[in-house]
Order: sequence, then C-alpha cells, then structure tokens
Amino acid sequence: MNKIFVEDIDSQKDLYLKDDTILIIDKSDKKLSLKIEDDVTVFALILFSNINIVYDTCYNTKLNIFTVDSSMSLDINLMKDNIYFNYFYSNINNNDNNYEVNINHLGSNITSKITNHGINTENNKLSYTINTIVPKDYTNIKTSQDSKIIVLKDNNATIKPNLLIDNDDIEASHAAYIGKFNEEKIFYLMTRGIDKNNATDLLVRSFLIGDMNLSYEQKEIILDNIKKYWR
Amino acid sequence: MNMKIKDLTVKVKEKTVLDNLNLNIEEGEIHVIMGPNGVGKSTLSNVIMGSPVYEVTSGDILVNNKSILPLTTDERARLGIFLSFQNPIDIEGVTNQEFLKMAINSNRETPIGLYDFIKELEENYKDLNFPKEMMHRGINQNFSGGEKKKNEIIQMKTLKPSLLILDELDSGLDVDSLDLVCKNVLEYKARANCSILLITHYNRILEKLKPDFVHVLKDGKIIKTGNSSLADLIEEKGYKIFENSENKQEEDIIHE
Repeated sequence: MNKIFVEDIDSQKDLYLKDDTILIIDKSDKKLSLKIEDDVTVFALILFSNINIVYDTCYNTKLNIFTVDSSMSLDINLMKDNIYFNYFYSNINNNDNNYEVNINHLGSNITSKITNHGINTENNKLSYTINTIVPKDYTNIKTSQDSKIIVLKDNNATIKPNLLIDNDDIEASHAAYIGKFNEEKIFYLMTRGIDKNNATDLLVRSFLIGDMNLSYEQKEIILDNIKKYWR
Repeated sequence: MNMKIKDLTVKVKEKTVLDNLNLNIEEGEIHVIMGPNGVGKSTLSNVIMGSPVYEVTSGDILVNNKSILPLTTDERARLGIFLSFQNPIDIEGVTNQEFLKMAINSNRETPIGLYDFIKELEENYKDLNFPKEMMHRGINQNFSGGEKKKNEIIQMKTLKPSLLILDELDSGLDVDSLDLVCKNVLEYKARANCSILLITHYNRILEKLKPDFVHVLKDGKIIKTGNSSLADLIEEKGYKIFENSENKQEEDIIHE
C-alpha cells in the first residue's frame, strides 16, 4: 500500500492513484486534485488542516477519511456509468469546523453510499453540508447519505442534508442525527462492569470507525489519533 | 452472594412502579418472579442494576448485608451482579471480544493475558454452539433473538458473577436452544454456587431450572410466594386468580 504525505506533493498537478493509498495531510491548507483508478481504496488522515479536495473516481472504489480538528471542502466526481462508490467520513472536533461535500453523479446506473460521523467534544461549532447532486442527463441512480454528529457537551452542531436531484428516475435517501449517545448502550456496557468513561470511549471508537473496511494499519492509525486527541 | 430487598419503592416520572417490595434471596437459591405484562418485573431487574431511569424513593437493596444503592451500575456489576437482558441491544463496531476483555480487566489489578482470555472465550462459545468467529462481530450485531440470549450467557460465563438476574431468558429461544442455555446456567450454578433471580412468563424454563421459590408480582409488589406448584397453578388458571389478592409476601407460601 502506498503512503503519501501531502507536504511532499505539488498541489498544482493532479495526483493519480493507481494502487490502494494512505494519504496523510497534516496542518495543510492546500488544494488537491486526485484521480482514482478502478478498484482503488483510499484512506486519508487529515490533521489540523483546512483543505480543499477534488476527487475524480471510477469503478468500484472506496474512500475513507478520518479527520481531527479540520475543515474540508470535498468534491467527489463519480465520472462514469455503472460505478459503485462507498464513502465513509469521520472526525473528532475540539474547535469550530466546517465540512462540505458535493457528490456529483456524472454517469448513469451509479450506486453511492455516503456516511458521515462526527464527534463534537466541546461546545464548539461543527457544520456539515452534504450535497447529493444528480443532473437530469443521468438515470437509474441509487444514492444514500447518512450523517450523525454526537455532541458530548452542549449542542452547537448543524447538518444540512441536501438532495439536489434533477431527474425522476432516482432512488435517493438521507438521514441526519445530532444528539448524545444512546443511554441504553452506555447502561448495557456498564452492567458488564465497564465504567462510564470507558463505555463512552468504546462507543466513540466504534462510531468513528463504523463500517470502514480498514487494514490493520489504517485502524491503528485511527485508534492512535483517537487516543491522542480524544482522551 | 445473598440479596435482601427491603420495602423498596421506586418511581419513574412520578409514577410508582415498585411499591414496598420485599424479597430475600439466599446464596445458591433460585427465585422466580412471574406476573402479567407491565407489573414491574423488568423494572425490578433494572433497578437492581442501578438504571438511571428509575428513582428509588424508599427502602433498600442489600447485597451481602451492604446497601448497593450508593453504587453505580458498573460497581454493582463488579460486585458480582449480572443482568441477562430481556432484549439485549446491539452495539455496532464494538466487538464482543474487545468489550469482554475490557469488562474482565475492569475487575482485575493486572490485565488478563491474551492467550488465557481467547482460550476461555473459545470454550464458552463452543459450550453455547456458537461459531467462535462471532467474537469478532459487533455486540449482538445482526444476531437473531436466540443468538442474543446465547451471547448473554457467554458473557455470564466469561465474567463469572455471583448473582444472576435472568430477565425472560426463555423468550426468543427454540426448544433445543433453551435446553442448551439452561444446561449452561445449571452447570455454572453448580460450579459457582451463585444465586439466581429469574423473570419469566412460562413454566417450561422452570421445569429445567427448578426454582426454590416462585413469586407473583402485581402492581409493583409481591402478592404471592410459593414453590413450583404456584407456577403450575398460574399455568392452569392464569393470573386472574390473584385479582383480589392483597400483599401477603412470603408468609403466604403455597405447598404442594
């Protein structure tokens, strides 16, 4: 698996990813343009950045992004017919941050699954804008977006789930949740002897990793950063 | 482990759900609570575990002669009380293995060795006819009702409690699975001499676990106590025979 540090690349040029890749972006405000080939999985770790990414993708690709205290603007361009695309984004926020993603369906017979999970640890602002875009030229598209923000203190989060659909022949759904962890889950874990802090830690980890299809190395990267920047 | 519930009154949102309830469970005894839906059976098990939903307004719960009311839920669990839930919830992303390891280590000074832990867990999975690969799945994630109940018993065997609260253990289990689960509970009881508080609607589990006492709960209080013949009577005539019963507690024991 390739590992690329964004500070080493020239942001004026397109970056072509032909193999599974770990992308590490640390304290950056770059604009990136990524071209993804078939069957490639990309995992991006983004720390303390304010980043703009354009992501052009082909068949059977996966994108997993984990961020800490970062703002991001992301354009995902699903460039061909018959694409299946799975995207999972998760983040920890200790400061004010914005996240905006446009999922542009630029072909027919596309299936896209978009999941966004955030933890807001303090009373900071966190804003998600999720735009699913289907122009009228493209048909037979199935798309879903599911966004959740868990607030550990006062709620200062917003989610705008937008379906910008210009065609009748589309199955599109969205779900959004802002709130606390389910108290029943914490109670269940505590009935097994786990204290409330550790029960919350377990839920934070599971929420941020979700159903990302990660290698051992990628999972360890996320767990290390959760430990470092959560508690 | 013994447990004494003394004059326990519990409210939820100003409504009284348990009303001056008394119950004594001595070490090694099996007690059964029966009663129609909505009389407070599951409430009792959740209150014993310290659910924040309920407010104890008077009375006490003593375990080994010491009140557990000041203890948090996790402290009660580490004391040796285990609740097998009526509807175990699923927690996606937290695997059975990592959760049980954390639960075991929460009650140990030094963390359990990985080899010993996995070995014991695999044995417990085997005892319940559960594929060991399930330990890598999220807690109860995509489990059937019966699998969830078996998973509760795997957790019980792994955590080794001294007082088991089995809330409708029999619901969701087919005949063979009920046999297997009861066999595991009885084997564990024989080994650990634990006490059991069982909540159920049905006689068939009582034929296997053979309780020492059967209690009937109505309107938040125990209105009748007896042995297994009381359960037979309920099976035959239903709860309507208690419609005019007052609170008679343990002195009103029905003998065969």
